[in-house]
Amino acid sequence: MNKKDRIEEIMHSVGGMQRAKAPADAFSKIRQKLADPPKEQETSSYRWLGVAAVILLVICSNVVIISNYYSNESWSQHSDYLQLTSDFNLYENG
Amino acid sequence: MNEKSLLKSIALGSEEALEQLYNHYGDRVYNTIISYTKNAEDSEELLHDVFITIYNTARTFQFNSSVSTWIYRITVNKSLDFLRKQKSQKRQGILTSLYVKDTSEIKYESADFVHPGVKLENKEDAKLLFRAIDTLSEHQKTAFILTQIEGLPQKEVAEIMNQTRKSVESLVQRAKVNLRKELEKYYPERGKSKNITSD
Repeated sequence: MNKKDRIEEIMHSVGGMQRAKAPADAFSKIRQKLADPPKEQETSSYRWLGVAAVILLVICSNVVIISNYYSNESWSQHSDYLQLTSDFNLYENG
Repeated sequence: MNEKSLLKSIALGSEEALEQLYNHYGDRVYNTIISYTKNAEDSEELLHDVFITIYNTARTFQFNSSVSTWIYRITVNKSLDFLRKQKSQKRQGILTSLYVKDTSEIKYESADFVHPGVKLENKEDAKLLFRAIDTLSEHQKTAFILTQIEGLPQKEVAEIMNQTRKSVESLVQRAKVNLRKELEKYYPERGKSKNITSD
């Protein structure tokens, strides 16, 4: 048999196939799951809440650190300027 | 009782109505799922999942499509979600195997899967065909499974996939072309055994 015919044979291997049957006890398991739904969703939503809280904490602490850094820097720049003007008496008359 | 009134009863919480719907669609849903997952245990889990989803969302059904289309749509979506999840787990598994020595227990799919409905004399060929189906894109895979394995008419498949009948026809054609290309890779040298082991 040549390659082409062989491939065609494989392509038609699902022809006339029967439908696969679902396991006999599948519906009783579905009923069981309906009566006792898994609590997985609740756990995962709490997990996401935890992740969100950590992210929020990281962002807030960064904001606090950055704002502190800039406010100190502007104050130190201001004080340096005062020091400079007093050292050289730039605006003093007489 | 017709399907629409069954669905109305399910929406009101009737498990008996769900059982009737299951008796009609259970095997169809399972047959579709196993063509995607190629694993009996995963297919059973997904079968449960599909009917639990039907039970929980029956009240949201708009009656714009047929009940059959809606059930197949849920089935296809769940199956594709499962495959995506499996793919990402596989990717993570590859990373894990770089660090963890003993990964022999990680098993994702059976390479020797044989669809339970295939005729005995076609089992070896069907094994190859299902391996080749794995390589198709999601759309081509769905069009091929629903038309060629589940045996649905193209019109119904078009409704399930939210596509035109023409595009489903073209998806099936392209799927067949790609399957032939893929099967050429598996085909042994002339004169060698017909059976190919997956290694």
